[in-house]
Amino acid sequence: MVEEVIQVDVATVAEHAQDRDRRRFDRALLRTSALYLGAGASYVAIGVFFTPFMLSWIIAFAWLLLWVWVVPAVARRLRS
Amino acid sequence: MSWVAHDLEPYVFQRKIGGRTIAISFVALTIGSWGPDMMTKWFVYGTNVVGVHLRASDPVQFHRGWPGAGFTHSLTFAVLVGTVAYVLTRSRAWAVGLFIGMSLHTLTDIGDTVGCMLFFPWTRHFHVGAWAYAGQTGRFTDAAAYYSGLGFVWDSLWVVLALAAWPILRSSYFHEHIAPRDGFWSWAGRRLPDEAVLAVYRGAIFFGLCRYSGWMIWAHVRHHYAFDPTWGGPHWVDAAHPH
Repeated sequence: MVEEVIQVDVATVAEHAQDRDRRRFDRALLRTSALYLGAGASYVAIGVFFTPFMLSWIIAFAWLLLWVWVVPAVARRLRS
Repeated sequence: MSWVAHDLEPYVFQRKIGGRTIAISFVALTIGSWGPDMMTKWFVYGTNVVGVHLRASDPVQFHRGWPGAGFTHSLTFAVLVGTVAYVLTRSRAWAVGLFIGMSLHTLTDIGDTVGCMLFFPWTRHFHVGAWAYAGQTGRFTDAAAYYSGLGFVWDSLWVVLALAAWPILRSSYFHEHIAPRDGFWSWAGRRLPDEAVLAVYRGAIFFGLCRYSGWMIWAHVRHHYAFDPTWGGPHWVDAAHPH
């Protein structure tokens, strides 16, 4: 009886941990996707009115790095 | 010429072949895919250097012809660059990557009305003539023409193929198949965090998809250029042909 209860508890804890990991993974994926989409939408919006922006792969790479690395890193630093 | 196709070819190729058979450097593949135009386009459209405007007097001849730099758009040159890269670096992954990237560029450029001298020094131009070559009209008219004729259909096809290759954009794919094949990524990984290295890996597809959307909006929403997806079109621009 005691063993059964312990087994059930271990299974429940493992399930909860898996759920937590999945939610954390989903949130991270959502956040990353949102950053890439934001970078893309803003790049296109600026590029349509200021075409040199759309001509350079260097600007495109820099813009993407700004959105998915620099800005989140600064935000993390400001929060901590 | 093709616009966005060259940004997306490396991902499509990597999805189809790169993961299975031979080790190919993805960085070399991308540089190879951009290479022929990196060497020539600035002089085709013209550029300002310390107040001096530099531009080819005959952009078509310079870009695709001989005499000119048209040899950069040939399979022969791709072989030569791959061989030189192998001799200098002893890296088969880089040599093969550069060769395949440049070959893909050359083959996708034969779709226009000028085409490429595929087997230079044989100067015969191979061209399908599906869309008008308009590089001689300047960057903006060229963009408008390309995205109004069958060029936009060609690029759309590449966009669909690249989007279908999305699994290779995953972090797990990058760490299992891309990074181990090329010292560049471990070098970059020592200097940048993982999210930045991944952004560099995904940079060319980001550039391509954004350019595709941006130029389409620029040409047809902002400027209302007429669509003419007929063979050799758009016919509102003077298409260039091999001299």
